[in-house]
Amino acid sequence: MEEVKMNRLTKRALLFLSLLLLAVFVLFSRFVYIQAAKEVQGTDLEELLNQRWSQTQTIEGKRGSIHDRNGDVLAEEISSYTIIAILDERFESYVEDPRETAQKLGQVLDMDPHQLEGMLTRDAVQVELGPKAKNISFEKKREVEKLELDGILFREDPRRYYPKQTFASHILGYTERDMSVARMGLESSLDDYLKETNGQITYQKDGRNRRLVNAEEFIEEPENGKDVYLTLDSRIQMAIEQTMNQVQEEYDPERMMAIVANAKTGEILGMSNRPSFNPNQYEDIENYTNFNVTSSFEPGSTMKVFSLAAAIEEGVYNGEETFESGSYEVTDRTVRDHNQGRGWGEITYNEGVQRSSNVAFSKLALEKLGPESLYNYIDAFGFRDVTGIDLPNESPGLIAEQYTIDAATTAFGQGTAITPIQQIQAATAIANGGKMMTPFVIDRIVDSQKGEVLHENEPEIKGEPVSEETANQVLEILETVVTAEEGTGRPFAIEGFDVAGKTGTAQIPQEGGGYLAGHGNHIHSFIGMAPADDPEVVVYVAVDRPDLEGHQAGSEPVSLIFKQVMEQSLQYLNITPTEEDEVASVHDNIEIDDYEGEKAQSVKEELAEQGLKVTLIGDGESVIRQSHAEGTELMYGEKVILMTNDENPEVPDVSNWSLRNIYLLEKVTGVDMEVEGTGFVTKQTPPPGGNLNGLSRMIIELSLTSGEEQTEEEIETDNDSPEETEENEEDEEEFFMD
Amino acid sequence: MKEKKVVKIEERIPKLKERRKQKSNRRLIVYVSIFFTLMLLIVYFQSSFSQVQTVNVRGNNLASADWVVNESELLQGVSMWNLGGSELVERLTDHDAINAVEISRDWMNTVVITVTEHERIAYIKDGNSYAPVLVTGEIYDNGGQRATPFDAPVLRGFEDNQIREEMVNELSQTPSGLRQRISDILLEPLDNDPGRLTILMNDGFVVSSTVTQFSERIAPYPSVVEQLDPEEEGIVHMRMNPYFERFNTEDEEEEIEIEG
Repeated sequence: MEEVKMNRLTKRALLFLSLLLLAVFVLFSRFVYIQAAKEVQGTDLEELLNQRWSQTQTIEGKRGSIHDRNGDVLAEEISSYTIIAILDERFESYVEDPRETAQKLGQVLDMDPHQLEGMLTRDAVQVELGPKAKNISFEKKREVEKLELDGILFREDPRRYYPKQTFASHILGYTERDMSVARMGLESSLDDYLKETNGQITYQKDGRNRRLVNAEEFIEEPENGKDVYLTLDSRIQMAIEQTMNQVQEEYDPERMMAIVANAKTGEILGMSNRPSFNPNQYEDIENYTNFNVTSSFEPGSTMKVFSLAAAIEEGVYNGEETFESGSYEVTDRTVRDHNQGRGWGEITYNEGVQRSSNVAFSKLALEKLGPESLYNYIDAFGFRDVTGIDLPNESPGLIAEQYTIDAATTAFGQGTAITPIQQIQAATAIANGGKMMTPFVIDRIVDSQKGEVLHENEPEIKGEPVSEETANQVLEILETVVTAEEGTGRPFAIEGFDVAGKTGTAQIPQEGGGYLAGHGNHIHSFIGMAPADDPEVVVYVAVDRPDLEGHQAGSEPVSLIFKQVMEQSLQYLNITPTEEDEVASVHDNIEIDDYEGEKAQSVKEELAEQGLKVTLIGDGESVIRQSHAEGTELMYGEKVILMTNDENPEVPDVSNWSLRNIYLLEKVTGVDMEVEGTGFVTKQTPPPGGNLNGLSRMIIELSLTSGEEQTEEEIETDNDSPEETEENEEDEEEFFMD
Repeated sequence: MKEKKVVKIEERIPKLKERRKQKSNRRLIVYVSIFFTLMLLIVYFQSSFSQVQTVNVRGNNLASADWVVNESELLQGVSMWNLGGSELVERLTDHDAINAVEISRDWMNTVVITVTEHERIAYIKDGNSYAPVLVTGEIYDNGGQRATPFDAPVLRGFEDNQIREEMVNELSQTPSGLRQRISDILLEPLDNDPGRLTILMNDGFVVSSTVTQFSERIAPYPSVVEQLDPEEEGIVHMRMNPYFERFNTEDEEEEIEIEG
């Protein structure tokens, strides 16, 4: 019995033990499983851990900026601010008085206070205040901050900004304000380069969200977008934009186009369209087309430049040969000269070019050159294909070659449609000794983080449609178009420069056949090169359907743009330095020493050598007083007055001196100056030459006769001087086809 | 050795005596001289010998020397050794024209106050005379004293404080050599160009620019003017893009008049 009891006890104990062991084993195997698989109920433990203890933040990269040739910024990423209003009372700072806040904010943001109040009384923790309170500038943010409103906070966001506003807009294009999508122009076509890649940083933190000091950090560097440098020159581009605005105001044309190119390299220095837009306010864009490269239209007589070059190259052009102008029969049609087909009697071909005779060019094309040869040159000048300029959406030309008359009309620029950039490209062949240059706007693309140039454009010769001799001969004839008595290009002459060029007045095809009729219903254009003997700059300007008064010539708005743009382009190409360090290198400042007691003549020589203009008062041996104190820094060319120890010094001639120089004279001589007026000295009493000694005061009259007001008047008279208008009327080129 | 150690006392006594006497004498002299030096020091500090007797003022132009001396209060029995540094400097820089002050001792009783005044950046026409405009933007009231604008340009038409301050700020950033070249700055606002400036230069050119970014825009002036013929009349436009606008020559003017 006892034994059985013992036995049962042992059995029970054994059972208990094995149960216990089983439980331990189950637990233990769970441990092992977790160790090995690192997963509990489908949650990856390692991941959970990482999530718990590490933090990842995005490091924003920066979109590349666009610069002009001198490095001026045309498009960049800047910070903008979005207003956030905290409405929840649990926050320390929240909008307590929605009405007052709305009133004040409304004024600064130019928003309706009622609408704002509505947003500020919403049942939300925080609100944004609509598009006008989004992406505001730093200045605006400061203004809002000054109001010291409770609960108004700012969020900083990056934003695309075009600092020069309406400026080469069709070239640059634009991106959405937050740079999510690039929409147009180079912004879009170079998006792969400009776009940034965001990086990120991962670090470990403790339970209170503090960063662990010695823990590992994983940084993935952001990659900034690449910077693009264009061939554009801001100053030339600015000149284009400004004159175009002026013409827009005065003549309100349908559209305008202008291109400035370096004749030797094909670099585009400036290019603009109207209608244009401000890329900072892209909601208002009305025209998405860069007409300069996308719009092909019948160019009108500017085409004659290339027909002429073809005829000369083929050796069939004799400028002294005569022909009967007026009209010319081509199979069943008649080509008429632009003065209603009256012509100018029998004239030489040279005069025909100057007068822009359609008959002359029809004869050249059909009788001398032959259609086949003409079309060969159309090909050679690249009118059939795109130029390959690095701008999106370029159009090729549409060459009319169906009927015999098409060759004649193509030769004088009607029937065949080409783009402005094609004309610029072809013109470089004339300007550059026969070598036609591919136009380009992108100078280089730079990775500024690595300091690496990723892509660089070099001038490229597209072809040599004509020889150097031909090109020079064409330039000579084109120069007479601008200079000759009967030349149509006379309004385009620029004082001080010889311009070679050709006017164009193209008819505009009407829907349903025929051409638009009426004064001003033309595309007026001009292609010009200067200086004529070896052109540096090629400029093309076209103005489509300007509003003209009866007496105004269509060439007026064109010449307004052409002359200002060409003149300033030529000036800028000569007057280049604008940066300060360059300025300093022109001439260093000159520091004035103490010259008292030194020999007057030697001081004068010494200072003159450094570039200062020295006026000595009296004929004395040595200097007793000087106009500028010791240590004063003066610029090259400044006037310095030295008083010498002469007993009877002469009164100096102070005509055209400035007020400040007069007071320097007072300081040096001790003679009181009684000054009247503002400007430069026109009259002095006593006159020069008298004895300065014993003189107690001088009376000085200043005036600004050649001042600004007068110039403005002059410009006005210039613009509508009757003489010019009369001349211009002759320039009207028309062309009748029926 | 042993023999030498034995010295007869009779031989030593007079020498010892003398030495002792000498020692006490010397000590006495030291004590007395210390006493007198201390006395002298006390006398020096108590008497006017230690006080500032003369004050020289240097570097002042707008602030009168008398004012500086009076305001310094150094002649009111102030000790050379306690000039009252920072307080004194504070009192003096209260003057509108004074920017910084440096004080140094010169010989026994002379103090030199070197005053650095705010730069006169321009002048403004004030009735018949000119009032200096300081680099701070303030017009300095010099109590009707006649000032002549030989060392800075004259501002005309800058009645508005804000635009004047902006102009002064721009001027202060303009290179000094260039500032020396400017004679008059005329504010001639237009509706669409409220900051339009006409600037008359010493070399006879008329420059058109704007108050905003003036210092930046005028900076290339030397290199622009370098390219111009000084005889030619016209306006140098120093705006975003510098360019020169020629005035028509006189012959042409006449022609237009006849035809017009």
